[in-house]
Amino acid sequence: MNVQQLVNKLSDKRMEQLLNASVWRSAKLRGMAWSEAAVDSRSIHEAAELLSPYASCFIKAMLRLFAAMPVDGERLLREVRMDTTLSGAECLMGLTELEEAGILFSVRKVWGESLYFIPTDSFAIWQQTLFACSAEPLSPSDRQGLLDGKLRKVYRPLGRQLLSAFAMLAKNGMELTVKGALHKKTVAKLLQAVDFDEQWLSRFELKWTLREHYPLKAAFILEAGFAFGLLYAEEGTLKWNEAVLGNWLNLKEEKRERQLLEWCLKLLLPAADVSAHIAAALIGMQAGQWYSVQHMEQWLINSQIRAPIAADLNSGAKMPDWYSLFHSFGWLELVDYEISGGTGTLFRWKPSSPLGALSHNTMLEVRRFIIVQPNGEVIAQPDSPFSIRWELELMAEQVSDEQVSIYRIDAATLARSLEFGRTRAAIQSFLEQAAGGDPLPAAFAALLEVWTSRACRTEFAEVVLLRCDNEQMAAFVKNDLSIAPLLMQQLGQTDFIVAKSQINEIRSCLQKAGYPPRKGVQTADSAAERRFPFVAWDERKDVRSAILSEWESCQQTAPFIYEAFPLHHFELNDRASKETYQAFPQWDSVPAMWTKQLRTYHPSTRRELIEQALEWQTPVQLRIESELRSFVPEKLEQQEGGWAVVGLLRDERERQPVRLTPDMWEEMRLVIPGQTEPI
Amino acid sequence: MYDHHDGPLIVQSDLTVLLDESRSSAGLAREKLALFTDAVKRAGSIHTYRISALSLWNAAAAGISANDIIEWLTVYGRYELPFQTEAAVRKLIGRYGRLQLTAQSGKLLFQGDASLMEELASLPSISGWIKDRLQPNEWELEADCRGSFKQELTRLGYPIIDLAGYHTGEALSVHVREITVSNRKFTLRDYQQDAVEMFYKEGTVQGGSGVVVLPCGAGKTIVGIAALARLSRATLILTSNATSVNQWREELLDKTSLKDSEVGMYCGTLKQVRPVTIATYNILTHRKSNTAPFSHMKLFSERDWGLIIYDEVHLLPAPVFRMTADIQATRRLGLTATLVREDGCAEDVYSLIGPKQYDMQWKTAEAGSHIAAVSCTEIRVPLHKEKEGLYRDAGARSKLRLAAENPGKIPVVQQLLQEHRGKPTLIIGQYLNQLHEVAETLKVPLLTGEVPQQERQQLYERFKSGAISVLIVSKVANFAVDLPDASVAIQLSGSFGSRQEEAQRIGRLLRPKEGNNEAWFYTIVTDQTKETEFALKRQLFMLEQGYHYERLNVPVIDFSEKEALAQ
Repeated sequence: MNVQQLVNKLSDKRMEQLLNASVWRSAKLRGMAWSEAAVDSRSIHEAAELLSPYASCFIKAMLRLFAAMPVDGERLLREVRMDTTLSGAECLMGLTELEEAGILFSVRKVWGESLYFIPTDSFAIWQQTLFACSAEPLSPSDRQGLLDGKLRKVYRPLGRQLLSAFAMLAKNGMELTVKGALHKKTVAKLLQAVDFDEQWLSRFELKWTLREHYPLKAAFILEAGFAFGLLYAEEGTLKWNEAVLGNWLNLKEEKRERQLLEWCLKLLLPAADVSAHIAAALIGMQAGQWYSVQHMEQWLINSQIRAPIAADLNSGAKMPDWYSLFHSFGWLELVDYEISGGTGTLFRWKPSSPLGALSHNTMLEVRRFIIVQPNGEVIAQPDSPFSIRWELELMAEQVSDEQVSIYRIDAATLARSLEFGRTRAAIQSFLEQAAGGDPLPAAFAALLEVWTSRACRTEFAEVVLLRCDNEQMAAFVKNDLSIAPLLMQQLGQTDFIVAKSQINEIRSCLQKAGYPPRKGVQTADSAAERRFPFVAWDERKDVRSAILSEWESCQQTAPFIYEAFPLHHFELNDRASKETYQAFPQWDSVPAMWTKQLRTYHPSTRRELIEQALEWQTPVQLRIESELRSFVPEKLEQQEGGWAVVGLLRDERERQPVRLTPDMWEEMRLVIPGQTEPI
Repeated sequence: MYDHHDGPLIVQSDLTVLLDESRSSAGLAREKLALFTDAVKRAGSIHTYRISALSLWNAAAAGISANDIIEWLTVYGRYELPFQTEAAVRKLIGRYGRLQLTAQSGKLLFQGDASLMEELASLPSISGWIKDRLQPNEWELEADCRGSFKQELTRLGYPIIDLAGYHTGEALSVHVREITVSNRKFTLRDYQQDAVEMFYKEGTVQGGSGVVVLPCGAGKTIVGIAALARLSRATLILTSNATSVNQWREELLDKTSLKDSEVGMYCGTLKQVRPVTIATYNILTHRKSNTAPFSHMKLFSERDWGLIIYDEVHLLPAPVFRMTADIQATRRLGLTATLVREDGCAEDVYSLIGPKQYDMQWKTAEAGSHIAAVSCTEIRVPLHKEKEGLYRDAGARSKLRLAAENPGKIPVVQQLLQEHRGKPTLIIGQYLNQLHEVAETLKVPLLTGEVPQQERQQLYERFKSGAISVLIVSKVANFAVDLPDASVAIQLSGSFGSRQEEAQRIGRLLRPKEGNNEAWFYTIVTDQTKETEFALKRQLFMLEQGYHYERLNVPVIDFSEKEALAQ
């Protein structure tokens, strides 16, 4: 679940409460709402500084252990305790603080258990804040090694791949079979239209619907179409939401790639286990700079994050491989090179990737997005809007798609374009407009004329007959001022051709005139109309917010790939743990001195203090050999002739349980997290 | 991101380079591209070039480094140079010069980078040729494997510099005439001289084999003849067709001191093996059945050739490559207008004929007036009224023929002749009936396959001398390379869609012209018929070669304005 989805679920009051948490103090002063601060890098950095040691330690441990994966409350507390030296009460204190600040959330499962999670879009920022990646860009002197390496295949950016897939879908028909899936041929074409390698997606062990009909790759494409609100299913066919499609196509490329990255992260981070750390670190890197995978792995080891490393991936383990996935999506470049005893890999975000601040537009004084060549080749500049590329996908075949994209228009592609309702004049006008007003080269204009002169000169039109029962009725219809303009042509004495789309209007006019027509239409409506929407290029429109809200509104219904943890099905806990859990109900029932002062106690009192600490899951402060030590008791052991306590000495270098007998410390006191002075 | 808007080059990561001719520095960039790329297409303002291993090794052979290329691509590039392009250029160029063949005391030696040689030794396709590993960086090879060895290593991606030298071949006394037999002053143009010198390289082992690339009409035959004279050795010339054999012979007899008895033709029924022998690829690859041996391949060893010239080397068939692999000690010169081969044998040209020694781009040739600037015009004529009914009822094939033979074309031809009066003009057509009709109407001589050779020659001579300024020719003109030079060509009808045909016909006009160096090509097609579609198909190829067509619709009266403008 991301912040936007949480906003849809949280009350305004609750969001205000979240913002009032002390960690968002500066963000609030800057006028930010909680939903903004929760995904704002600066605010999160500030919040991390202001967290209490318990909360700070807790979230660090939680992210290290579970990354972006939602986790059951009991397991979370147990494993964080095992991973840290926090006492149980301190864990709860930390968790409560994080919940109160809207850094962590939980949902209630039907049987009362809670699943704790960090919003997917906050995860990466918290991750980068708490586990700053130490991998440095490659120095210029290392560049020779880079040039000696072997560059992996070049992929188109995901947006371009999806554009081809969507265009292919529009060209090949979107009717669904009785089982609700696209036809096999369409699915096959869909798969051909994209380059990315399915194996990198399959590593996430995603589940999806209609598995017997759709390979994961197809489900992923359709999921994207639905997630962004471009597609919807209705009456046995997929349909374009043309307004949303238009907005999506008119987005600037870097924005669209960024959205796609965010969408991928939302879909994949919760399914990625601890490898999500790699993704989070990756998106914090600088575009255009080369980094080493081996340096990344060293950082993971140093940070004690057990994410898969190259050795695991090479051993055939089916673990997520973010480098290969992002490479397959056309965002990363990867270079393999030989190092002693194996292969190393270097990577960089392409300047045109979601992380790059690429914009060619500023350099162009004329909006000349394409160049039409006399032989029918069309060269699309890097900044050609997708709306132009979309139309080119229909009227041309793509030859290559790199720095510039090359399309080729020929007789067959033009016939297809005509098939979808384009005319010669419309094609010419589109090309000339996209070419900055340049007229078509004479040779190509001649080709266009010839190629468009034969196909689609005739067509079968599905129109409707308005049939009258006699000539008088026909005369009435013809003379009615509201109906007459809707009649296309009279056939014989009693029939009129009318447009199918006008049926309802004519029906209503006839009803008003007192002649309600027979219900229904005599012939059944046949196959759904095929559409390849025409999208006008519109640079003035800032469509990001519109598309985002439309996209978000579609999130609940995206039907193809199931979320790894469908949190939105559960009820969000609207109160923090503190309010439901009284950690120290009788803390004032113990002698005040137990918590206030270090004292020497009789062994039996010492035992009482330890028992109390165990009950409250709090630490105790001990003076051992004149040094003050913080000790977290875990269990009491009865020994022959005495007792001992097993627990953790927090300042030990290694997290190793120790057994202490009461004679091993001189003085002690109970420490109540949040109530008494911490240790 | 780097975005140098004025940069004329767009470098793609698949090693394609697009040159935007509309940018001010396009000319400078084009000059550099010629050094390390092959031109693929020249349609419109964006021209396509390709970097390949071979184009890079050709560049390296000419002393160009990877840094030079990277710098040019960066300086003239519009966008950031793709990393993969830089890496590929460095890697491929880095392979050049690491391996070489030499000869010592009759031994064929392979020398180079020891670590690379170690790697190669393990390859079964290589190890069979190793006779003795004298040192880690020097092996003795089987004496007869020179060609096959180079071919295999080139295939594996490792070029070899062949310094094993040549045998001299049979001496032949020959020189280029200053005054031709036909009594014209003759000197080599500067670039032809340069091409010969680049090939010959003062007779050293560094030269003596390679390819010269010149655009159509720039005088490739002359370069071949000059190279022959420079070496003065018995020479075998291989070319693509019989008419070309004739043209070579005529040029040799006209421009060199060779006598008729010294020049043999080896094609059709003639099987003359003389100090200079001209043969076709066809005859060399002739055999009685698919399994029978090539009966004429022996020509390679019938004389002690000192030079073999491969004309139109981009058309060289595979069996000739195989034969060429065995004669690597003979000097070899390839001549072509393009190194781009569609059969994937470009590597074999490199390894067996040799690296590119000289290349002059079409634009450079045109700018230097080494070839004529041809204006192409398509004229659309309405179908003659009388034929409309016939056309409507005809089948697809007949429709094409009716459109091609449209009598409405004849007045247009008359008008064109009027406008270009006095200029040597060829009228070319596909259908004999139509040509006879035109000849009859215009009272102009007609040359077809039916005309005896002797009469043909006479017609050519009269045309050359200016006695007749218009000649109608049938399809024979497609390959009749002895066809005299013309300034105007009018195509009445052509094959359905043969790209080659139109190229050949335009090629006839390319030889430099006196005066303004202009030539005109007209193609007359019947509007609103299938013929316009086929005409466009033919033109598409020419468009990609950099020509552009103007389009006129009849009735168009004033052609004189067009010619006047050109002058």
